[in-house]
Amino acid sequence: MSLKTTPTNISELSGTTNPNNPLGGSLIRLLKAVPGVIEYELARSFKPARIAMFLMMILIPTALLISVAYQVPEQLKNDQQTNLVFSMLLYALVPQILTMLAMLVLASPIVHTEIEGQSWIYSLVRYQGRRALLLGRYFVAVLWTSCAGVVVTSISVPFLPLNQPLQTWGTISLLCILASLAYGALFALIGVLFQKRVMVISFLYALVVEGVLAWLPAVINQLTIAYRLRSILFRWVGLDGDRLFQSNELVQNGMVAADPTGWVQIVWVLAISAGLLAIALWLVETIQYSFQSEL
Amino acid sequence: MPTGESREFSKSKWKGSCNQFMENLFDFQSLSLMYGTVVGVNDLQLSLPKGAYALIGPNGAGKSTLIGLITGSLRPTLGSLSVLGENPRRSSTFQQRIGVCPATELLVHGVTSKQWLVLLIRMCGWSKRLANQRADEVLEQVGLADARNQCIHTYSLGMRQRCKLAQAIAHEPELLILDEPFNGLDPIGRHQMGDLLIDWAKSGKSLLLASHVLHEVERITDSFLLIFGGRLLASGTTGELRRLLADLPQDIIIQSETTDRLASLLAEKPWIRALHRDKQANRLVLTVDSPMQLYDALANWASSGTVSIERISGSDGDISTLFKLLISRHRGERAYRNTGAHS
Repeated sequence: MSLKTTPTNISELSGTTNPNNPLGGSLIRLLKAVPGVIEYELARSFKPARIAMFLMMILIPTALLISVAYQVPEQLKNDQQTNLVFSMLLYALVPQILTMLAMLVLASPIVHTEIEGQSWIYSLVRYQGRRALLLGRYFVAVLWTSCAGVVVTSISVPFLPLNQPLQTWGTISLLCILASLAYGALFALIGVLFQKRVMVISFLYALVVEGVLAWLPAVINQLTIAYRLRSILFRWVGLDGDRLFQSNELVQNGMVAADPTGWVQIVWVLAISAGLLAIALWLVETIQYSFQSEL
Repeated sequence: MPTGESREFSKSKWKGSCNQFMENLFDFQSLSLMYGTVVGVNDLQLSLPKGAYALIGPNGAGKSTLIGLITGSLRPTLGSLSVLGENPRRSSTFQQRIGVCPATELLVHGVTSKQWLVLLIRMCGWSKRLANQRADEVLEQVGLADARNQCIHTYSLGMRQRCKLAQAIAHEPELLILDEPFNGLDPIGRHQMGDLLIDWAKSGKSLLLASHVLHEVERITDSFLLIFGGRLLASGTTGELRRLLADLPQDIIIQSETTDRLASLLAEKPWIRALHRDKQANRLVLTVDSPMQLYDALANWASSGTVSIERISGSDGDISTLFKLLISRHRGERAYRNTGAHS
């Protein structure tokens, strides 16, 4: 063993940085680093444990939905009320519960597992390393969760008594992706902020804010992700949104769902996700983590 | 506070040579870090030119905290520091210039060393192709080329240490920081790691090596920073440390056929702190304030035939002895009998 120094300059090799332009260099370096993290995390993901978890995420809600649909009497299958119930059930089980819990498990401990696994230090001593790691692992979590949600929806929808199955499939699939992005950003931020009991804190937040507060007919529920997702559902899933908004006073006042079109709600969800992620990315570089035993 | 000797000692060589360099390796200005009410690093004041240095100190001395400050992972509570002329927490290019090999066990599961290295190199902003190429090169350099596609968790401890070193040097840093790199290595592994680090130091790049394996450290560099309780006890080259040692109180054992005569002569000297005569073994055990004066006196008496001396054993400049002495002094202990000084 002997150390040789390669004659090539690092900047030449990486083809990235202009030392006189650290901001531009930083962004390019970050953009180059993130795909590296995604590839690495995906390679690590294809392990029996992760695949088993993925299958469980798919099988449990699918089995539940199909078994409930199987119980519906034939004469009620084309009923408007049945359509509403199954649309809501599909929404509650897939974008709300499945996606939220999957993102809680995958995105909350991004920083914590690195610190626990004593590998945080290797990201710390790389410029933009923490951000690249956070973003890379966030996107991998979003990918796994969105895929699981879309697969569950795709398998279940043909068996459910829905008036407009294709539209419902499209809307719920879109909601799965949006929910993954938004809940992923939310739980990643919680994971960045708290170094201990991060899963418990995330779970309590999900339960109290997204589970209870989001359904309270008060202005505060408009700050929740569930409210925005629900608004898209009401508009696009074939529930006759206009009639719904006109018939119910609470809905009319925007207490249960927002009145503007689904596109506005999509922008809301994307803006919330980007905002939460931006805060997490800023904090992860500035917070001094207690990894002292690591060094 | 560092001892008077250590302050003077640290300034003697390095302060002078610092002026010859535009960019110092380290510049610490009253550098302190507190963990609540616990002092991690205490008022470090130091300037060092580029080079290879060993950071020596027992567990809890503040080595890892100091490394955390140097790498920018920790923020100083008071004071300031610059490393390679940059503020570690503010510079956008600093992390590219350092490589860190931490002391902790490498606990990466389910990935090969090459996958892991490619990830860490790509985190520095390298393209995929070049990261793959560089990972192969560096694994070759640390002797892991044949095991590159083997999962890290199946590696021996020595292989994992080399893997950690590989990630530290992969992006060709100017300063390599290693925390206890010899931990868990067998003698061959230690020798190989030592050779690697000697090569690194010879290549003209800077090195900071935190270790308590003193003889291996001495093989790599002759410049030391002795740290304890978050304070810098002493710093300097091996030669300077030896000179400092010679002026420090220490235990000395003299084997002689004329212990009676020697004891009576020594008892009159003011620099003898304690004297114990072991009649059966024909030896004297002394605690001496000024060893250099003792050696002068012994040389005079022996050459004039006043006494016969068969053997002198005691502190011989061994770093561990010096360290123990400095800690004793730092703690304000008056007695140095338990320094374990042996040749």
